[in-house]
Amino acid sequence: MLPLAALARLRGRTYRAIGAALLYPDDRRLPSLVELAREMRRDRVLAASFAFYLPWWRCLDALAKADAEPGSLRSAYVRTFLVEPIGGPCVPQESAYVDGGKGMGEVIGELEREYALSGLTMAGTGEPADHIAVELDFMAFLCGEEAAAWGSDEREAERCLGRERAFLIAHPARWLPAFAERLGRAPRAGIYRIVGEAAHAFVQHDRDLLGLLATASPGTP
Amino acid sequence: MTGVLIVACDDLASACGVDPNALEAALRMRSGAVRLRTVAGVCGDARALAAAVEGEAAAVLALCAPRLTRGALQTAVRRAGLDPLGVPVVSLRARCAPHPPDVAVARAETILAGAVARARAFRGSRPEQVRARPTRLRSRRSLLLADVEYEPVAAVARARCAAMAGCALCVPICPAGALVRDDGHVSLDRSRCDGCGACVAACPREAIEIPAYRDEELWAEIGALLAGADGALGSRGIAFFCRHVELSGEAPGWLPVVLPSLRLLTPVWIVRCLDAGANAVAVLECEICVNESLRAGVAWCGALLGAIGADPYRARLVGPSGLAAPPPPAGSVHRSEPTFLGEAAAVLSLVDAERPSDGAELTHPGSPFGRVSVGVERCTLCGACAKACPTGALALLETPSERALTFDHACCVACGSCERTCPEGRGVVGVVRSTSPKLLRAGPVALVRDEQARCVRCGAPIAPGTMLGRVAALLGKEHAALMPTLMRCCSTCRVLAGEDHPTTRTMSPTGEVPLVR
Repeated sequence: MLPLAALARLRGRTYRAIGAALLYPDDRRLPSLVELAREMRRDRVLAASFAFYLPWWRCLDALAKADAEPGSLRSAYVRTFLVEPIGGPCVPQESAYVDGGKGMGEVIGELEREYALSGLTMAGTGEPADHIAVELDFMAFLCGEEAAAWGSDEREAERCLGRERAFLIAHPARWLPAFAERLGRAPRAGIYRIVGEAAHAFVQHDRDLLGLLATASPGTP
Repeated sequence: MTGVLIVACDDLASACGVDPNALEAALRMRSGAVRLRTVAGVCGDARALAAAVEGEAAAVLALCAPRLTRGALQTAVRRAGLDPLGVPVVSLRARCAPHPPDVAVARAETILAGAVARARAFRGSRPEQVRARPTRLRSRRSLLLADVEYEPVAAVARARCAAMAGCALCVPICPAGALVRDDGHVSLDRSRCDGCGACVAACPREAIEIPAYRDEELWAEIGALLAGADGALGSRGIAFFCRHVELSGEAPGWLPVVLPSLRLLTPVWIVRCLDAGANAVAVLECEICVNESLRAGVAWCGALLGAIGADPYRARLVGPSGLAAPPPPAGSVHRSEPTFLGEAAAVLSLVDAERPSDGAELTHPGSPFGRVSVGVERCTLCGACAKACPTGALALLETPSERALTFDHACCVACGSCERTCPEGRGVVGVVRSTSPKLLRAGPVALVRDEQARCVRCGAPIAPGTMLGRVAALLGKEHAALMPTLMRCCSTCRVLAGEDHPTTRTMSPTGEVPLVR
């Protein structure tokens, strides 16, 4: 039996870790990412119940050792997301993948409105609203709300599930497979290929899981 | 060769009548790098199971009576670092216990050899090929979710799919309506797919696959089941059955191959098994899976066997009691190392083994092959049929002097796309379901050919004579003056030659479309 509140926390932490792993690994960010990955490995018993487990574990394993060679990690980041000349860089933004990359302003506007509905505004760290890290961080926020609600207000928790599902389908699930595929083809992407696989698997299976929870009928108490 | 660990319950000897040491020794002889580990209570203990499999490259679970839910079993395997879809679970008690001891050991060895081969052949799964099975919250008050069970579903590889060329053979086949053709692509709604594999069997381009049920994975198992001497097993047959049915009681000589649904089974698989040395192939009937197409396919196999002088009863649909009798004694085919052959090659190999000189054509509604015929006098060699053909069975070959429409019987699946596409109307292209060993051997043959008319100015080919004749007939007397230019000049030179032929500048009566550009 799997406790839903713990599951929501695990999902939120995973979204946060994957999102953070796809930001530039500067001196401030990298140690906390490594620490988060090491801590998250303790969730393996719960995570093993879900089909995302194998790529999730590979990703955490790789992130937990990411501080061993920070220089090569930064090179891989720049090569993969910013300047790789062959086939173009893997742009980690939704606008580059949906509607043939034409609706950049529209997508960003739509996302900012979505964030604002939850009382959030962009932090001004430089990433646009459609950056993968921002979208996944928003998913992490929704999962946090859900985890808190399971203990006190089930109806609110169910509403959170509905919002997570709607956002996931409308945004990350729409473009992440294409992004992960491009990442998989990128030469010398190193750890980012593993992160891309984990992101793809996690979003795909989380979408299924949310669908399952949405349609699940309550059993006998 | 990948090492495979077989995890068995320590009740193996008492519950299934199989000595683990003898079994391990026999499996090593047969399947190479194999280890067998017996673990106490593994049938009902997920932790023990996970610990036993931890760190292995590939594994098979030989359980006497699995007491864990499928979801719990999957979790345990996943925790050990393996993809659950690639770890076959064999229920040895049901498969072996009803048999005498020597047969039980031989069956366990053969069935586990099949599972080991399948585990080795497993190519992994992608996120879109796995789906959580619908479940329910066990207790809303305690906020708990039952173990989630995952199942494989189909996925379409767009790079191989011929939907852009107009193929949509998989769409109407899907019993769940999960496939849709949209924007030139076929896409699959995972929430509706039940993983039956009907689309896999229907796709002529092998663009759809279900992990753990790919051709090479199934073949690895079947090949291993049929390899080696008959020994205590006696006459060996392959019994295909689906997840909705369970083999019960003795099925002497019958080696089980489990499919997600019988809809995945094509008649050529039956032929492949027979050609690889199975004395018979039985398809265990299931109310959910068996449809007219499968019935016709199995009937075709029987008809093919009959046509080449073999026992038609070697391929059949059977009910639950149909496996009580052993397969018929060995046919003329017996191979110590079964080989996985392509569709046409498997049919030819079987025909050659039984009656090498036979070239008689078998017309049958269940034939997996089709034969296309073209009315030579009406075909203009426009090539629309070749363009629409999803398998490349029809092809248009063009040389400077000749244009020809060729047909390869081995590639034709009788989909009828050519018949529907022909712009000359009904009756010019015809397709029948038929199998002709002679044509299968022949490879591509020309159905229609015609000389190309060539441009008198530059020498480039214009069109075949039949097509120009058809154009002349369509233009009729009213525009007869255009014909000399059309017959003599290619499209480029026609523009240049326009100065000398004022008629080429004539506009259509409505003034919208120039007759000749």
